[in-house]
Amino acid sequence: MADTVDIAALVDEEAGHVSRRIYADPAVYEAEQEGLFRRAWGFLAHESEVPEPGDYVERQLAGENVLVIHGKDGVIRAFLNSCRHRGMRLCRADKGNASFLRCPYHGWSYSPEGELVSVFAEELYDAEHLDKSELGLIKVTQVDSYKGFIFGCWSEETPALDEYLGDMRFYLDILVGRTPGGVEVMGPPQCWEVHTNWKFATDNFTGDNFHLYTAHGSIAELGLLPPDPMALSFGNLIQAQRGHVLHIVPGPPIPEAEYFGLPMELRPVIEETLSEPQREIAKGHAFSVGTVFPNLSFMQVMVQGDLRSPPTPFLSFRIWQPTGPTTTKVWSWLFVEKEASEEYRKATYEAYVRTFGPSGIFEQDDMENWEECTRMNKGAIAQRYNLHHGMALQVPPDPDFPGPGKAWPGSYGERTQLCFYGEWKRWLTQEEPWA
Amino acid sequence: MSDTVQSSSGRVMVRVAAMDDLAEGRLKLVRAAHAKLAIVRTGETVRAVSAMCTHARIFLAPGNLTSDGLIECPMHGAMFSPEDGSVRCAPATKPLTVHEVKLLDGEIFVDPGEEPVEENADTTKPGARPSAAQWGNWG
Ligand code: FES
Ligand code: FES
Ligand SMILES: [Fe+2]
Repeated sequence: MADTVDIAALVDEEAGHVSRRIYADPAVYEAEQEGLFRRAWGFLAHESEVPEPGDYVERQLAGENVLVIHGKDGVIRAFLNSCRHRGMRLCRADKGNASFLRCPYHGWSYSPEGELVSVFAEELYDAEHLDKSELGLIKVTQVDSYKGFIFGCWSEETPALDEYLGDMRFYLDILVGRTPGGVEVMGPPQCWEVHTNWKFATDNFTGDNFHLYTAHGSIAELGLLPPDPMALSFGNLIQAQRGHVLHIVPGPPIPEAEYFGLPMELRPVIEETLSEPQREIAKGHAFSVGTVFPNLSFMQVMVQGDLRSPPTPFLSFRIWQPTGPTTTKVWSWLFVEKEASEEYRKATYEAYVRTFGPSGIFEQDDMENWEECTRMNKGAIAQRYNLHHGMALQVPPDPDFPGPGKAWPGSYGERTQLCFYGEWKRWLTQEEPWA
Repeated sequence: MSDTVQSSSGRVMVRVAAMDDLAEGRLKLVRAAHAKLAIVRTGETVRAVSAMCTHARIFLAPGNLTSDGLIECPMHGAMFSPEDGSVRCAPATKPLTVHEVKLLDGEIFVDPGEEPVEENADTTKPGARPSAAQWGNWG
């Protein structure tokens, strides 16, 4: 079946049309695994998750289990979590600290640097049939990090991480590089499975602000969103570079809502750390949601977890890992400035768990919508009709916007979604989509 | 017949429809100069209110009133009285503005009101910012 899908016909950026098949078709899923996930850079872990030598976490890269491990030499590496003997899953915990990686099946063991160090009954092999130096763990082809965010890539041809992220780094710095210490994780990620295609998550996280008053209508009714549904329609939709997109949205005109509502005591150091245009953007906005292409999304938002708490900011990064054509595993991390006070850590943690994560009041609404969208779009009849992405396409970009890339004024619109789908199509159809 | 008449206070009223165009219990959308209005007929009386829901600035839809004779917004279900524009059901909080109506020989004339000064600027204009009022008591 795979050769019968004309991927190029599934997305029409000009017309603002996207085929429903991209969310449900097994052939599209296969094409995506090969063309996109086995070639693009994927987020693996943050350095603060593996601070000590021997620390490791198990992650996924293009659907394969990968071990991210801090070597005794201080270098963080990434390997396929599979023994070279029979392929057994080497580390069976998703996180830990190991002096050696011992295979549970026949006992082959590896150093944290990935060398095969011992083989059971080694004396029964002759030199011709066992060369341990050839049998180290399989390395992730490219591994690199940006501001502590470790990425991996299965392709040699894909440009280096810095070039791949390109101008998105300018915006990432506003979120993760705004203090000298940068950010660190608050605990391990929360993981859960959703019956949705991963692109409904990215579609929402390329900056869909216009679902708030319907999908989260009950939250609005409680008074946890501003009363005017157009209050959150200001700001910009931004294409930083290629498929890397985000929105930035101002809050109410009060100092508390500047700098994403971050604690006052951090603001002087933020002002010092950011460049002038970054400072201008950070100062003027309270919310930013975006996606590092293809499936690493972030949200820097001020929320009220309940009626008694004041709006409190949090920063979450999440991976939408496809586990099948219509299933997705979500990994969601909470980040905080290394310099943050204990008091702020508690507040940001509470705001995050009450609103997002598997039990969050917002996340629940979103998951329900994405699951039902996926279920509906599986239908053969439904698939005869395209989906619609046409909002605010007539708005020209602002030539005076202080940041790189293109910025379209107004945060209600479907520009960034179309940028994402256009890039998605290039990776599935082109030899060198990055060229 | 002229397309405009003067109101008692000297304002220009615009002809928008004929009585015969209106059915009892149904809402009709009309344009009067710059204003888009919703008109409703009850017996021999006609009322006109602004056609834009005050909640998310969505235009109301033509069609039947509710069984209680109210105007229902198609987007989030706010309800308004066609009599005086008042809110009868959330999520809207601000009433619809009422426009003066005059009936002359079976024709309906409506005062379009002043051209509104856009209180919240076009959100797609570079540098536009929300007003404090739009955020209400948030936080
Ligand atoms: S309005 Fe967006 S899916 Fe129906
Ligand atoms: S726009 Fe009318 S109820 Fe929301
Ligand atoms: Fe949402």
